[in-house]
Amino acid sequence: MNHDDMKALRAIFERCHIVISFNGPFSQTVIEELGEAIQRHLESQTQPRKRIADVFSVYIETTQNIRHYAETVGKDEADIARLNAGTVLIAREGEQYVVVSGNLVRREDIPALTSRLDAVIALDEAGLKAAYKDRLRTPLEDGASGAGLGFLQMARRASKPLSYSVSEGDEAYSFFNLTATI
Amino acid sequence: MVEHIKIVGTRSSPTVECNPETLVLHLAGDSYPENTFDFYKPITAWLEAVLDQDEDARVVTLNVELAYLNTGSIKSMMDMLDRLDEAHEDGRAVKVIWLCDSENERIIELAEELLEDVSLPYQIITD
Repeated sequence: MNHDDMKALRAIFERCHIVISFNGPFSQTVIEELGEAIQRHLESQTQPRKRIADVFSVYIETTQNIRHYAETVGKDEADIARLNAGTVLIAREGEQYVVVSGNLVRREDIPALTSRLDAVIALDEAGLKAAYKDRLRTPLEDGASGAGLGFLQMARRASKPLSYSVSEGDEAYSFFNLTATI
Repeated sequence: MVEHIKIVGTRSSPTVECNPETLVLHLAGDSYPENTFDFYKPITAWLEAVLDQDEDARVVTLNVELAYLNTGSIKSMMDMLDRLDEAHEDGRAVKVIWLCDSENERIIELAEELLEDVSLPYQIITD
């Protein structure tokens, strides 16, 4: 990395009003430390307690989703390592905050992922609550590491619909990007 | 005899006590452990064992002082509440007490949302 790269990186951080970011392998310790930093930062900005709780909740769901995905579908150590590395950032957007996460997803998993998200995005507040309650009462599949509630929870905490994008990675993986505004 | 479970809390996992003398299951702190379902497995098993003791007429109490739950913990909580509710419908004495910080709007909402669908006696206490 040279000085120009650093300058360019800094310019992106400033232009996008990024307040906290992380790029690399997620571990429970990283998730906890970063979560703590996010809460402290929002407190220092005298944000209402509810917004702090909502940003934290969305952040936890999105990062734990990535870890669960890597552990559930990863074929070998190298595959798990690639799937478990990601980017998460919190940025200021006017009066609100956005939580953005980016990670690699195996190409064959993209259709199921995007159709699940499209179904969540299509729901209004009442629909989200109904789907959430329905999911809460759905028995877990054997070996499930998540409750299948993460996207619904994120959507319920967000002030506008979740948005995502998928871009070409390589033969095996695509890059998946998810944004929630709070 | 059902075992006595004591788990010391961490930043992401709650302090837990399952007391077979008092039949109180107490959870306090934040709950977003790495493998949430593995964390709750022995706790739900304890509850199951206690509720299986049909001859015991004493009240089984779930005492909750959690400030934050990830969705895996919410699912585990719902499953415990459903199990307690089932026991209640079978005539077992059960109750749920959820203590919330009055400034923590989201936890009060969550407690209300989880408890509105069960018929067992409960109290949501805010302070």
